[in-house]
This record gives sequence, C-alpha cells and structure tokens, in this order.
Amino acid sequence: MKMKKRLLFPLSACIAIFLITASAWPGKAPVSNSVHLRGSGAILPIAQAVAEAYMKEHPDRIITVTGGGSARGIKAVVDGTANIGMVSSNITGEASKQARERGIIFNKYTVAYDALVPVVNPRNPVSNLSMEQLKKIYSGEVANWKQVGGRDAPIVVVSLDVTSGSFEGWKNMVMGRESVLIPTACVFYQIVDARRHVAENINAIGYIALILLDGKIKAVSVNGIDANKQTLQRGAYPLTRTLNLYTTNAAPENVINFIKYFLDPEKGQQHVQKAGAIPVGQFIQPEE
Amino acid sequence: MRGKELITAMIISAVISCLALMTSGCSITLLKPEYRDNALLIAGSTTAIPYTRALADEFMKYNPGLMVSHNGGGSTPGLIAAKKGAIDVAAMSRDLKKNEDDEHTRGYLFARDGVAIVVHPENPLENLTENQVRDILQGRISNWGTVGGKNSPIKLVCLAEGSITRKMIEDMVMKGERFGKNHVTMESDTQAAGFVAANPDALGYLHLSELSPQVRAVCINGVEISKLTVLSERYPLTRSFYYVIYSEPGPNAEKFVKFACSEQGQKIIEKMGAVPVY
Repeated sequence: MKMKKRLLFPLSACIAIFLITASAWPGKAPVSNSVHLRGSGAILPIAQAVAEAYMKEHPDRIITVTGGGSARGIKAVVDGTANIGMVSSNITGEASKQARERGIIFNKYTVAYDALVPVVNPRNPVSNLSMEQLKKIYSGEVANWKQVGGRDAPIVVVSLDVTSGSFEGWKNMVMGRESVLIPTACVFYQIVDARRHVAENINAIGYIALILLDGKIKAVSVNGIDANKQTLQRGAYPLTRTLNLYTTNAAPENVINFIKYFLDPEKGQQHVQKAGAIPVGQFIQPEE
Repeated sequence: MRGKELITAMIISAVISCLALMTSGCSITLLKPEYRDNALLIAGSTTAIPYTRALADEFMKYNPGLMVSHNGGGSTPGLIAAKKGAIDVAAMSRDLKKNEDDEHTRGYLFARDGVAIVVHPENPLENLTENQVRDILQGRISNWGTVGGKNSPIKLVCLAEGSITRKMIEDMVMKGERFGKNHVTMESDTQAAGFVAANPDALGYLHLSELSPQVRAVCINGVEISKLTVLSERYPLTRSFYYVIYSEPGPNAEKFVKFACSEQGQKIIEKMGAVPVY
C-alpha cells in the first residue's frame, strides 16, 4: 500500500513529462544545433572563418554570421534574435541599461586583440600623427593637411556611425568622450564603405580595424608607433582594443561550445592569427 | 485499488501538463488559445513568397480556423506595413537597416540562399569580381579575353522574367540596370544549366540548389559558393530572408515565426532548395 502511494507522484510526473513533450509537436523550440552571431564588421571576417571551420568539423551544426555593427549585435542578443553579439568595444551604457530593464545579464568573452589604425589615401605624404593631432582633426580644430606636415588641402574626415563599435572605440581612445565629431565628417554605417572612401579620396582620413587594412589605403603611425603584431603584443601601440563575444548568461550549451572552439588556441585562435589580430593567449597587458 | 491509483495519477499528470502548456504557450486541441483574429497577414519580399506559401500551408494544417494570407509588394513596403500595424509579419529578403531596427522591431532570420555564376566545366575561369559579374550580365564585358580567358564571345544565358533566381540576381547585382541585349533566355534554372553544360563559351546564373556537376560555379571575389559560405555570408551573392515582427502583433505572428524557425519549418525551407539556418 505504502509503496504504491510513494510511486504515485513520480508516476504522475513521468506521464506529465510525456504529455508535455508529445504535445510540443509541431512547432517546437528551435533545435539546438544552430548558433547565430551578429554584430561588428571588424570581427566579422574572423567569425566567418571560425564558423566555416567549425561547421566543417561538425557537419550537423549550423552557424550563421551576420554583420550590422556592434550595437546591432548587442540588440539582437537582447531581443533574442541572435545567440552571440560580436562587439568590438565594450557595450555602451545605453545597451547595459536596456539589458538590465529586461532582466538580461551578459557574459563577455574576449576572443582577440586588435587595433584601430588611422588611415589616409596612399597618395597622402603624411605618415605619422600624434594623438593630439588626431583629436584635433576629428574635432575640426585642425582642418588643413598643411597644419600636420602635409599638403595645403582641406582634410576630409571619415568616420563611422554611432552604432559602430569602432566609432565607440575611436571616441573613447582618440576623440575623448566630451569631444564632438566635426559636423562635415563623412559618416558610414559599414567599415568597408568608409575604407573605400579613404581609398578614393586623396584628402581623406579615417580609422579602421587592423585586420581590415588593405593595399588601397595607407596606415599612419600614432605617436611614431606603427600598428603591428609586435607593437600590439608589447602594449606599445596606443590604440589597442579587445574583440568580444557577448551572450546572455542563459546561453545554451551548443552556443558555449562554439565559443570554446573560438577560444581554442588550436582552432578558433588560429583564424584570429591568420586574420592579423592577436590571439588572447598572446597579449601582454601594457603596464599602467 | 490499483486502478484507482492509476486514474489519480493520470488526473494529476493531466493537470500538471495542462498548467505547463498554458504557461509555455503551446497549443493543443484541448486548450485552444483565443485567437486575436482568425487571420494572419504576411507581406513583403517577392522572392520570399514561395517559402512563406509553403510554411503557411503547413502551419494552417496545425491551426485549423486560422487563415494565413501572404503577399508580395517588396521588402521595404512590407516592413512599413508591419510598422503601421496593417500586417502582422513582414517578409524581407534583406537585413533591416540600422535606422529600421528599433527597440520594437525584431528580425528573425529563417533562410539563406545564394546564386551561383556558372560556366562550362572546361572553362578555365576560376574567379570573377562582383563588378565583373555586373559588367558581363549587363553586356559591357562580352569577350572571355577581357576576364583572362581566350578571345571568344561570352554566350550569356539569362532566366525568363518571373524567375525567382532572376529576381535575386537583379536585386543583388544589377542595380536597376538591364541585362545585356545579347543573351539567350531559358525558362528554368534546369534548362539554363543544360545550356551552359552544352556550350563551352556560356555563362549563366543558377540558384544554389540547382548546381550540378554538369556546370562549374566560379568564385566571386575569391569565395566559392557552398552551404557553408552562404551560412557565414562570406559568399557575396547570398540572400538572407527574415520575418520581421513589430511591437505586439499578436500570438499568431509569434507562433508562425517560431514555426518557420522550428525543425519542421526548416525542413520545408530545405525541401524548397534554400539553406536552413536552424
């Protein structure tokens, strides 16, 4: 008698579980063999390479990668349309606030170090600028190349939209939070469009992720220091930044597994290296 | 005694499962939730119509009494209609722009597919830039010699108006301009593939799902077309399809999108020749 009573509740629970799972068909929750990444155009090429390598090794898994900028990456995680936000800076106070309002807690994973590099047209003779000069160019205080050792020509300032993590980084590290971007700046949503504008405009200056440098634009050293693997690793280059993946703290196992792969020195980090960024294990924090 | 206890067990379990289902939002015949309307309106991208039709047909089977209506009109008009509350779900064949993606808007990726640029298997051409593709399709490049091949005219193969693949190429590459005057028109992707396979100087475009060993797909900007490069969006001629929900259009909209992204919905997507994203 007593034994049968003890079985009553577990039996009920089992039947309940069966009924719940059986009636969850059709239209049940998305299967967990997929991971969706969204966000930073600077992280995009690395994430694409890691995603394709991961899918080759796990043919039953699906990883989608989409750009749109760091801010949209975080928004997608907050509104549930993506699992991982690719953010090339820290998330803004605004994004944190929105997340808190919805009761969302983020987990942040730094997957690489890269740098912001000021770039000019290849035909521009200027090869070095100080932080002070960069700041003044972007505020409009310096408006002619001759003021910084170049030709007598007006400076065409190229920047990125406020939702770009690269803009966020540039504002923090170069412009200063109180500084206002010169109103005549050419502002682009996509890094590749900004890059093209500098490549096509002899008087343009812009800033770009180290990994997105190409032969059509010229990198400018900052305070006499070039951006390269050695200067980044040593902490000598002043405009270094982290590339990060954000999830909610309720991210399922398959999402965490992909992030682990991204962080694996033999796997994801090889693609970080190949892209020209610094793997996380190889960065030496600069001394304060 | 045993029977009585079994009945009690079943009653308890039925109560537990009903409570769980009510909170989880699933629908079963016993506890049919109240529909706000009995119609679900989806509109937007023309190229998404076949997917929406197939998903809607299946979705309606599990939601008897619910009418799902779907229309074209274009991605942007669809989004505007959703934001005005005129429709429940916008179907889009492009991502939201930054100024379209506000705190009330949610875009759910439900499929990706791609268009291959194909040549005869013996054609040594390996890669074309997007600009070269545009120039060839629009007739500004008409000789293989211009793109590194031998001196012979390119036989351009186009798909007929009304072809979804043709619409995709127009959206992605053509920038509103017309195809070059010198081309042959095929009624289907399959016929186009057959023509390219039989003509060493031919170049055509095919939906990813129509690729076969009888033709060779060239790399675009150095990237080959594959399920992986379409999922990662690294392949330049990739299309992404989204269902976009604005504010609170009602439980049917959410359920439809959830269905589209479910295992069953994604099987339908795959059967239609797109790349499932879940």
